[in-house]
Amino acid sequence: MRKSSKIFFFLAILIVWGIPFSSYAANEQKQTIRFAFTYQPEVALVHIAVANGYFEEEGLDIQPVMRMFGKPALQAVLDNKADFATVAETPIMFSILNGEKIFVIAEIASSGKNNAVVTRKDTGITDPSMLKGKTIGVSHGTTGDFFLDSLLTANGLTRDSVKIVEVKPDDMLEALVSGRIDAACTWNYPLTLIQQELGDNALVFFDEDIYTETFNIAVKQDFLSKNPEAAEKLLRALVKAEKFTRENPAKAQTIFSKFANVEPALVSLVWDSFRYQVVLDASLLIMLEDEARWAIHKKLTEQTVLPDYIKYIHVDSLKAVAPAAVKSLR
Amino acid sequence: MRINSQLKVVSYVTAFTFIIMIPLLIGTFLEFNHSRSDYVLTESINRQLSKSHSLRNQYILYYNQYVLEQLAAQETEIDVLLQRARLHFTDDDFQQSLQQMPARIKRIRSIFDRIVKNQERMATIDIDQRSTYAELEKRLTSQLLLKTSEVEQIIYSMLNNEALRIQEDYEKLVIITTLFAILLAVTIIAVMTQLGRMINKKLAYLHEGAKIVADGDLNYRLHDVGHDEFSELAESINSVTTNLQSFTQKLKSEIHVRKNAEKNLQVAHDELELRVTARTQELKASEKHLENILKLAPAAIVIVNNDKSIRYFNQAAESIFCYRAEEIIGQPFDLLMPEKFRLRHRKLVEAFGNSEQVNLTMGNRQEIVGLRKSGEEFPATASVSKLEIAGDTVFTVMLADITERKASEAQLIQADKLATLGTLAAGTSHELRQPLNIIRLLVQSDLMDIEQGSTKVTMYVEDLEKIDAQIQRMSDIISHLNIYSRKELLPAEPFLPNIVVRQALTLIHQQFASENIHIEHSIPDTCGSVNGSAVQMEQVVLNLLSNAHDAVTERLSNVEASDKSHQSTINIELTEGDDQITLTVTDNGGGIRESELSRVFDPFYTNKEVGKGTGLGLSVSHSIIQSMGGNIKAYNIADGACFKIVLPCLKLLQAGSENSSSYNLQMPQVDRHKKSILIVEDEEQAAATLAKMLRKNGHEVFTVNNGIDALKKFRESPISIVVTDLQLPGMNGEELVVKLREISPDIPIIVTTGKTNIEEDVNNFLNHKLTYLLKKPISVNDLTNLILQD
Repeated sequence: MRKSSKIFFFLAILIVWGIPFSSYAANEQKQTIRFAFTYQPEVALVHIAVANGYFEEEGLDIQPVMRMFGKPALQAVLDNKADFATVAETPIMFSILNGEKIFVIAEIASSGKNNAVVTRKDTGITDPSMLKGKTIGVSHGTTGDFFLDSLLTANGLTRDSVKIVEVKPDDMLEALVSGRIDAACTWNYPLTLIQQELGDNALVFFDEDIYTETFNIAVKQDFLSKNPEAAEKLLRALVKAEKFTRENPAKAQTIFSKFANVEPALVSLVWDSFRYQVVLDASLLIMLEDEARWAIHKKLTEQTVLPDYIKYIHVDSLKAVAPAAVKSLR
Repeated sequence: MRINSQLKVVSYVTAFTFIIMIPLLIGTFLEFNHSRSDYVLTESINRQLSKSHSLRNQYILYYNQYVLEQLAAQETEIDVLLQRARLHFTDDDFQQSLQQMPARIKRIRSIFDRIVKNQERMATIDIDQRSTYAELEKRLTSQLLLKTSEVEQIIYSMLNNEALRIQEDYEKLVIITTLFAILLAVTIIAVMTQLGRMINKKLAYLHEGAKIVADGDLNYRLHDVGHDEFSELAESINSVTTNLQSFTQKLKSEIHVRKNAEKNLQVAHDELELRVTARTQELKASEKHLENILKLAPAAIVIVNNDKSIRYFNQAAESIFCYRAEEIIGQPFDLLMPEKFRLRHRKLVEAFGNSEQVNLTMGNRQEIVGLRKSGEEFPATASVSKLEIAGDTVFTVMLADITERKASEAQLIQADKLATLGTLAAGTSHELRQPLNIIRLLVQSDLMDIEQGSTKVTMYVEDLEKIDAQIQRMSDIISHLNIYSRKELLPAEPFLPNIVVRQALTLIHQQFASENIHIEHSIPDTCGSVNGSAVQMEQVVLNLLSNAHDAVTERLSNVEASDKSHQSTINIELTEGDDQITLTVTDNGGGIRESELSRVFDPFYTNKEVGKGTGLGLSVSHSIIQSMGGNIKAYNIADGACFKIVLPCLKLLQAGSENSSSYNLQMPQVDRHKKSILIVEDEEQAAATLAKMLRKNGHEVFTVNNGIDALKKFRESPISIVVTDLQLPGMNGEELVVKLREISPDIPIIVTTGKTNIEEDVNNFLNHKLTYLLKKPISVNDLTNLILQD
């Protein structure tokens, strides 16, 4: 046998044995992650990361656990039905007050205009101070709950001066249209959908100065301690999505609209209200503490001592992925 | 490839690298600088934002209204900075971040405004409502903190990015610079290494070839080594080798020729050595001979060193100075001359030593005075020459004792003087006869007065005084003749030449006038003095006048027959220049033959008849003038000869000084009278005395002193008788008589004369019955008788 023929022979053997081994190695590297997230605009980065295959690129096999809003998504994690969840700071604040051992590993969006009180003009309410004595629908334990309280305070009202009723986000439109409630405190998309439904009869009370909503990635502490690489891979995929979104905002909207099955016009309407950024900074801690103080003060929790929320914010994963994204927390 | 071309390539590559890299470097540097500038601007914004945040916190804590004013100013400044940043920043990310800033800052301001209003409201509301607003304040404050934090994060992010950019730009700058340096170094090293190798290789070949040539193989040639400088160098070496080969051959040939020449030179040298040896022996002999000559020379030879010490003293010098050579050598030269001349001598020798003149010829002898060992002074002539011997100046003095010669010369001069005196004897006797005549006339006149019984004592006293004056005149003449004829030589002293010349003229005046020789003279009343002997000078003048007299007399005897109008004339003129006196004596005696002009000053030379001249006059005159430091020359003029004496002038002496007292020239003076008797007499006193005597006898008397005036007076006045002297200035008595006879043939004429041999001389014109002759001193009676006779 000629020397060159021998070389080709050995190469052929290596290729035959190498392909299955390589496939096996690839399968070994992929980690299945149960990710509880919603169709809300705050979660656009997750949808884009899924759509663009960033999770796969990072070796994660994402098993979506879809919920209507953040609070049930977090609940899925707490119920061990999901490993990670996308959730606003208010459910996180209550969970921690309730003693849940969770970590926030990153903020993926923030907004000052995502929450508002919407009413019908025909109710005679023309400004927030006229909500006194009115029935206002709200989903307890959510960002809407805190925003409503803040709005009332800003207008010299207290929770006691109005009648607050529990209404799920998806039921807000029906409750308002039916007159069961005079006003609804909710977020997008229900907020925009109600506005569209009421048309000229809709009156929305925004107040960007009194509240900033954050949307975060939460994980149980146990899981994170066992799967730190998973958190880093997940964050790396989200950072890629953030870069894509920043550089291609139009494409990002299209992808999100398509993937989340939301009308592109609706996506476009609310898109500019959000800051899509994978980050850990002081705003989350400020909001957690502010809201916890509020919850204790309003006796919405049995806890009377303000937890040290900084212990629930895990910076190592994000620092490993994007050091510049970790800012001063205080 | 030529080394030059390779070096050019290196230069081009280097230049190209520079051209490429420098803009890159500049661009990177500008980018770096811009990033730094961005960072500074961002840092300023951050600082201002922090300050604003701090002011808000201060307000929230202390409710200080003044803080609000500061905050307002601060906000304006932030807006300006942001505006500047928008214009300045070029990075897209920064622009994006900047775009977020205004909205966020606006939000912060909005929240803060609400906090301010909330606080104002809290101050006015009831206490039971205050908790709601207090809660609101907390919420707003939290939001304020949150929004401020967001802005800070943006700024921090920008600052970080700026820092990163600066870092990147700096790294880029370093990398490009390093690359540039490496590229340049690598290029240069590569080219230089290759160049070095090539040069080494080719140099080794050239070195090997040069070594072969240096070892003597001049037939060896380097082969072609390419087309570069080494090839040219190889060609040059080959060319040099060829030239060297040719030169070597030529040198060999020259060496051969030179060896032959050296051989010939050696032969010539040996021959020359033999000749030099022989010549040296000759020179030694000659030197010995010369030494003997010097030793035995009749003249004293003294060699004097530059320090004036005597170096050599020959036998003649020993004999003259009475010193032995061994005792005088090394002594100062001054010992050989009287002390009074030493200072002058030193100055003269020093002047000579410092002059350009190195030798004085033997002809320039000067008379000096030497001093013998015994202290005796003696006249001598000497000449000095200056010589440089081995860088030292020595003076050679040649000296001759002229004591005997001077004695001989004195004898000659005396002889010449006596000869001159002989010549002058007739004139001198006339000079003496004149006063004698006057005395006689005065005495006879007084005797007549006494006989006639006159008792005018005053008149006699007057006449006696006149007689005394005439006796004094005679005494002066005799004294002067004594001085002149004195044998001894007086020492040289300053004298006035004009006085001397006048004195000489006095001696010869009457004699020359009697011979109808006209003397023209131009002698100034004052002039500078001359150093010498006045007597000898007078001797010279008399010699010249005597020669002129002889010349014009001889000429007159030759031309008399054919030219009656010829007037023998002698001109004597004294002029004074800046530093010399010139005396010129000219005559119209026909001059000296040209062939004899050069010999006139030789001793015993004469062209006169035998017995008329000694032949010493001009020779003695020449010696006298030379001894006074002057010179005398003879040459011919149009109608005769001219002798010119030039004497060095000392200074002007005042006339009448003691030196000039004995030389007062008394020229004849004549007064004029109108009388029936015309007296023609150049001696005024004689004429006056005669006139006085004749007037006493009742005659009208006219007196004139020369022939021309006599003729004039004769024509103007009725003259009955003429009394005339024979020796008259200008027209003499004889001529006057002839002229008067022409005018009035019957006029009685009485001729008076002092001459002794007059009978023969006036024989012709005396052959008239009315012409009478009376010899001086004349007798008044004889004269009266002759007048009465007529």
